[in-house]
Amino acid sequence: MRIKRLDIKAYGHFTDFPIDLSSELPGLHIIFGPNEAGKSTALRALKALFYGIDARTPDNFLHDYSKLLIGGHLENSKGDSLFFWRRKRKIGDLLDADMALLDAGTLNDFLTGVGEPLFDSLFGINHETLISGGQDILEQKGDVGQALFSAGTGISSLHGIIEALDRECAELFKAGGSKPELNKAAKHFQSLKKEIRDLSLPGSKWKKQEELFKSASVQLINADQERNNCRAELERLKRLQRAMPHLSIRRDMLEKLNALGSLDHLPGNFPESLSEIHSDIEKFGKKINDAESQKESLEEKIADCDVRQEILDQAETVEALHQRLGTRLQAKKDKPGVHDQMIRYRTKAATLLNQVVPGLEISLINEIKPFIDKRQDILKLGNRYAGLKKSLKQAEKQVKDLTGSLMKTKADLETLPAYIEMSGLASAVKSARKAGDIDQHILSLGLEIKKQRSSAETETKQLVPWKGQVDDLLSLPVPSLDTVNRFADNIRDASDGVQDEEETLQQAQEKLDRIKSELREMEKSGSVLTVEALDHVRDSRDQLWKIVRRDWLGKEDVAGELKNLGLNKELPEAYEEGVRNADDVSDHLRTEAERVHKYAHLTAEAEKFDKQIQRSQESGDKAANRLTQIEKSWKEIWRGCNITPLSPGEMRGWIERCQEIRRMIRERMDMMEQKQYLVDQRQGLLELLGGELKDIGKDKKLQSDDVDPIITYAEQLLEELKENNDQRHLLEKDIGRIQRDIKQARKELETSKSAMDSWHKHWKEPMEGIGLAEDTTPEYAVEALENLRDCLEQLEKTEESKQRIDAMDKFKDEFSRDVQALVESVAPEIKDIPPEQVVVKLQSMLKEARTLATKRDGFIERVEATEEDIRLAKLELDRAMGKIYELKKTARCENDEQLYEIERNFRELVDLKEKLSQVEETLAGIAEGVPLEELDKQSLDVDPNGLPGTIDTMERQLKDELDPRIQKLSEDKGEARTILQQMDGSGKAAEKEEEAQQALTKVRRLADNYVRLRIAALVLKREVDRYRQENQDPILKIAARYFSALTLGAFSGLRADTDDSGKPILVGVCPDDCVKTVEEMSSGTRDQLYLALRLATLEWRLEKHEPMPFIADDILVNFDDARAEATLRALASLAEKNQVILFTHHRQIIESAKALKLKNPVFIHPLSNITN
Amino acid sequence: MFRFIHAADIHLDSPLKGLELPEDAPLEEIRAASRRTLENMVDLAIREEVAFVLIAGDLYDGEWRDFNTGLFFNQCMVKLRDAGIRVFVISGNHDASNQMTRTLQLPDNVHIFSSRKPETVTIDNINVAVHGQSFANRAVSDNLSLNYPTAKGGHFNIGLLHTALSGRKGHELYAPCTVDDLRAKGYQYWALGHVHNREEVHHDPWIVFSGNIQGRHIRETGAKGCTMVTVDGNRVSDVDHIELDVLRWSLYEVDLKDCLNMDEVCDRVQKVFEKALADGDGRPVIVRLELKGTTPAHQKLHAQSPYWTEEFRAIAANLGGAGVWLEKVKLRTREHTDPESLIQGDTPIGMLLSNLKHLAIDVEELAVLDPEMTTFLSKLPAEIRGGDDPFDPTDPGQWDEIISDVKDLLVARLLSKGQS
Repeated sequence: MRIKRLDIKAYGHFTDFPIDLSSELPGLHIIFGPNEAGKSTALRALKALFYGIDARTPDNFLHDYSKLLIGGHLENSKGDSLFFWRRKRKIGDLLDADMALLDAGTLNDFLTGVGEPLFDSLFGINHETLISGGQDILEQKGDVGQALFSAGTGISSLHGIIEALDRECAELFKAGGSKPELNKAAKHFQSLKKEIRDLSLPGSKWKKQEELFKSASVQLINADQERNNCRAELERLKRLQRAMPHLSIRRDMLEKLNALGSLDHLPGNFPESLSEIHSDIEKFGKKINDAESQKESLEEKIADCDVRQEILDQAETVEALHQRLGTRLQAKKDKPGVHDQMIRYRTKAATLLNQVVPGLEISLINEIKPFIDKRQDILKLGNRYAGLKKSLKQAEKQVKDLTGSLMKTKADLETLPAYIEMSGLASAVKSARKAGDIDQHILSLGLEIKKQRSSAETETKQLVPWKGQVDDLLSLPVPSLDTVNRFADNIRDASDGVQDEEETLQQAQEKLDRIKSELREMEKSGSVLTVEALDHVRDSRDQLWKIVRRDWLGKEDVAGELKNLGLNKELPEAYEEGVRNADDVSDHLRTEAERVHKYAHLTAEAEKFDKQIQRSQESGDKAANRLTQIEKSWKEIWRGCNITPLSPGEMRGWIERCQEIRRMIRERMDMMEQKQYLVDQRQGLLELLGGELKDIGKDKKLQSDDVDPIITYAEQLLEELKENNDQRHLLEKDIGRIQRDIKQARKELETSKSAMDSWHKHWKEPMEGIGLAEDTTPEYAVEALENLRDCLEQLEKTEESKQRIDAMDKFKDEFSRDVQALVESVAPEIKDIPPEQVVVKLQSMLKEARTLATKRDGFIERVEATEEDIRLAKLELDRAMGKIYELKKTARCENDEQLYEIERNFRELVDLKEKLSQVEETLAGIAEGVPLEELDKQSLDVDPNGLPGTIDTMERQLKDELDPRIQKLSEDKGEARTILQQMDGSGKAAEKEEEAQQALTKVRRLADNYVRLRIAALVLKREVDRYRQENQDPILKIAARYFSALTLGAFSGLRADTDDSGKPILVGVCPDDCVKTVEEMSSGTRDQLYLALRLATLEWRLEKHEPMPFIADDILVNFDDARAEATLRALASLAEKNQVILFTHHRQIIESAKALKLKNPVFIHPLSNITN
Repeated sequence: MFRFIHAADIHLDSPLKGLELPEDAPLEEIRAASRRTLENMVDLAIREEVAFVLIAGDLYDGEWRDFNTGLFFNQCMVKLRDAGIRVFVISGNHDASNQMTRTLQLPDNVHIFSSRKPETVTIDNINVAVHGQSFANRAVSDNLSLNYPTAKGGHFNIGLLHTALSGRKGHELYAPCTVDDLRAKGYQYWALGHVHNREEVHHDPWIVFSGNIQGRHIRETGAKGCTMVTVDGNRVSDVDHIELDVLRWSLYEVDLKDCLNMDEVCDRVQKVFEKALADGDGRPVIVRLELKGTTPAHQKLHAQSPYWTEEFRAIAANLGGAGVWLEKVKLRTREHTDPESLIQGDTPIGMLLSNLKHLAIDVEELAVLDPEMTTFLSKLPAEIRGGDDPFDPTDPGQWDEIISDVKDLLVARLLSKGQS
């Protein structure tokens, strides 16, 4: 099968794009489209034509899914052809030429059952497949089977597939391995099974354990019972052993109690009451005796006390005198000192006064005292003097300093240059700067204008066919692009019309020629009778018949007529011949009706085409005329430009260039205008600046026209001037300030002077009052005033001492008089001693009298208390005697002896009862609930001597025999129970089983996988080998030819060899008969080897199969020119039998193909024009 | 009025089969499923205060030897005893061969029927007579029902029997009998065991297979549990199926027709998983997917089936909820056009496929073709070579499946991977 035509109606960016692949031989067709031209889209469209449009094709960006449409014209080797359309539908996507649904089977007849995957792999190849195919040959180390199988299926990485299968198998399982997944999983499963066995609890084990537990329980119960019995008997015997001594004591006591009889009529506290009364009688008797002897002794002591009452009566007076004695004694001691002090004060006062006012009597001191009292005012006045003096000095200094400063500043100002006005210049500079870098602008504009001009001139020279000056272009009446486009369309339409007419004419002519030659052939093979001929012979016959009639019935002479008719026969013969002729023609027409009909048809066709040719010629002429007309108009519109125009297409380019130049000219003119404006502006600025500079006398000549240097100069000048003006301004300001300060300082000096004068006036008066000179300094005046104040103080102190001495003398006289008066009344014996001693003596006598009086009063109080005690004790004694009497009555006795006998018996009875109760209490503790009488009875049945032996035996039995047995039994039972409890129905084994099942499932899954992968690998390898055995020889033979061609003879062929292990491998044969393994080949050579095998497989298939187009997608992309050529040749060679469609976007391939000059042409189909 | 529970085929501690969970799966969710299901039944009995519980055989699972299983059952029965609930048990084929049945001493509320002859136990306070007979050995081929006594007058009569009736798919024909045999006894209720699918065989009298209480593999799909029977005036007034299972098995056929690519396949699988999750009603669901239909994704699925299985697992894992676990993915999809018809007979691939169709290999031949295969088979655990669903590549059914998979695998790899 081959593709005659691929019609991309609507697909990708293609609209109505047919590719004509019809050629005599299947042919090598190169579909060329640069990048983005739609090469891949066309390739997809081709596959979509065969196998349907992909459900999610990206090629719907221009045409909706529902509008996608691809047409194809196929032809198979039998010569059947099929034209059909493919649209995008799930069902019913095939349409025939008339857009009616087409059965998919019809197409399948052409595809001969080759499905899409197979088509892709077997009949498609691209650059990547080629490279990986070459790589795979290396990886399989030239394995013949794999190489052939790869090429046979179009797989480029068979080795990779086989290796992947083997690897995946090895990852799953390896005999003797432990790491592959399956080995691991199986091992894991086995280990889980073992764990389950370990965790499982056999029923027998549980049963045994349960029996063990039960038997231990029963034995334990029995042993416990036995031990309990033994313990009870032992307890009983021990109790008896403990109770026996107490029981015998109890029996004795009970006997004694019986003997004492009953004393129940006596109160329970009888003995206590009796002894209490006895002790009372004794106690009170003793008390009375003691108190009476004490009273006697006290009365003796009272009599011994002798008190001096007269002194006690004058106690207050004595004490008052004693107090005054202290003062009297102190005055006596102080008086001489005070007298001396007085003398010293007076002397000092006189000295001080003399220092201040020599010669003044101390008694005259009071005259100056008023001034001394005003001392503070004088001191204050003196203090002010120093401040006034300082202010005056400062004021004088300030006036002097400021005057000096003013002189200096004025001198500085005179040295500075005069003030210059500069505002005009400053504003001129500012405007100049604002205008920007005007010089540079003018310069670059000039350069740009020059450049523009020269480009425009160069461009203009290229504006063929026009000749003229650049500036003329602007005024040239160039037609608009629209006009040119219109002419382009018109001319194209017109020439298409001419061409169409020519084609129609040619086709009609061809058809006419064919018909004519057919007619000629028919005519050659015997005359062809026509209906006209029949009519003709019939007419002759009918005419003859009319003559016969006339001759026969009308008896007319028809000989002449016959002659006229050119018949030189007799009428009957002539008529018979006429009839025969008519019949013959008629028969002939009947027997050769088909031929006649065809001839007639052909003749009619010939006439039709004759007419058509005539019409076509006329239309052709018209079309040609129209074209000429248009071309004339075309030239006409260019007359204004004085140009003979080229084609509209070319002139469109011309106009575009022309417009470009015009734009350049206009730009240049704009720039020139701009430049002139700038020059004018610069001149204005120069003048402005020059004027200003001249005004201030600083003008300067500069060489260039540029304005920048002047501006720079002006700016420097401005800076200098500003600095000078600022300096002047500062100094002037300083002078003003200093003058103001001087004025102020003089005012302050005046004020200070007047204050000083005023002070002197005030100072004079007090100085004279004190007796000092008027000009006494304040310092001296202070000292004098201090001395006068001290003098006055000393005089005051002298006065105080004199008064004190007078007071002391007066006190002494009064004291002596009071002492004398007292002593004469109370103690005349001491009236002759000095009053001071008398007072001391009286005081001591008073103290003695007081002590004696206090002692006597205490004794009297104690006598009275003792008398009260005696009375109370006598009362108590009487009451005790009464109680004794009562007791005797109760005890039914008459005297004290009987009473004491009864008391002794009573005490003995109470004592016995208490002891008995203690014994019984002890016994009750021992008896532990057994009644005492029962215990007593049991004790009588027991031999006290044998008892300890029996107890010892039983204790040993308990300790050595019963206890250990029970201990062991309960341990056994506990252990049995623990073990049994551990058998708790745990789900651990079951859980492990669950895990084991999971592991088993994994093993199962992996085993399933492994078996499939393994068999897949085996089958594939086996098939590879089988394919090699069956196809190796014929395919290698063809491949050798291709390989040699593709390698440009570097290899002369291919051969199957064996490697060291005996495996068949592919080797290349060099022209010198040595061989190269695939490892020794370059990678490019291996790619060619893969291609050779692919092409050989295709060619080999042709022997048995319908060819299919071989689609190569840019496989030459990395080949050098020589190899690309060799490959093109190889493809062209295959293309003699099998259509080859090579898609490429490399123009070089096209050039190479064109240059090849092959026997059969290579067809180039550009895709590019669709992009316009 | 009283109620009782009819359960059967507990197969206590029998594991879940054919399930392979990823290491990070929360195994707690599905661990010890049969135990938890049994506990659910005990809780139900106590909560609903049923009068008694019937267990119609196959309490244990065949060869399982761990006595802990029996002890666990014992603990459950003690709970029922404490609640005053009696239990009637017959041994089924699995129990008969299990030594647990003989060794274990059950509490006194449990009655196990004799295997020598039919026995009748009456419950006097509610006038119930339970008739039953245990299996004496694994394979009982006699019709046990024939010897069952006729109904006891004035009582509600229950027949407890482990049987396959006249045959049920996937179950051995043990203790065969007919519905008529059972009806002839005049009982009000026949509590049957052995068949794992729940089935109400007859309504008057009631003849019911309660089905097993927990599905354990992909052949035991859907809700599982016990039957709650209400009796009023010696007549069955209500029969309810109560779901007890803690996880559920589901088999979903997914038609991938119209799926143009793997994204759409994954979407469809996700929808199926979501449905499975909803059907599980709060339980984890174990799902087997059978992908079928003609789809352009066919080649992708076959070329990388383990990869896609993992993808599906990931989809399931992302669902959340109680969880959906993928047991297996079976690929039964077809290429749009059958590769064999696409590939001309004498292209290498065509020849390969045609030879593959005739590839008949038994173990010996396989050994010749591939010595490692013998080692491989011998290394596999005996457990997968035996059991219910043995792994045996030489089995014709499995062999056909293998060859079909190999074909898909090779075509997918040769045609899709081979080109790039």
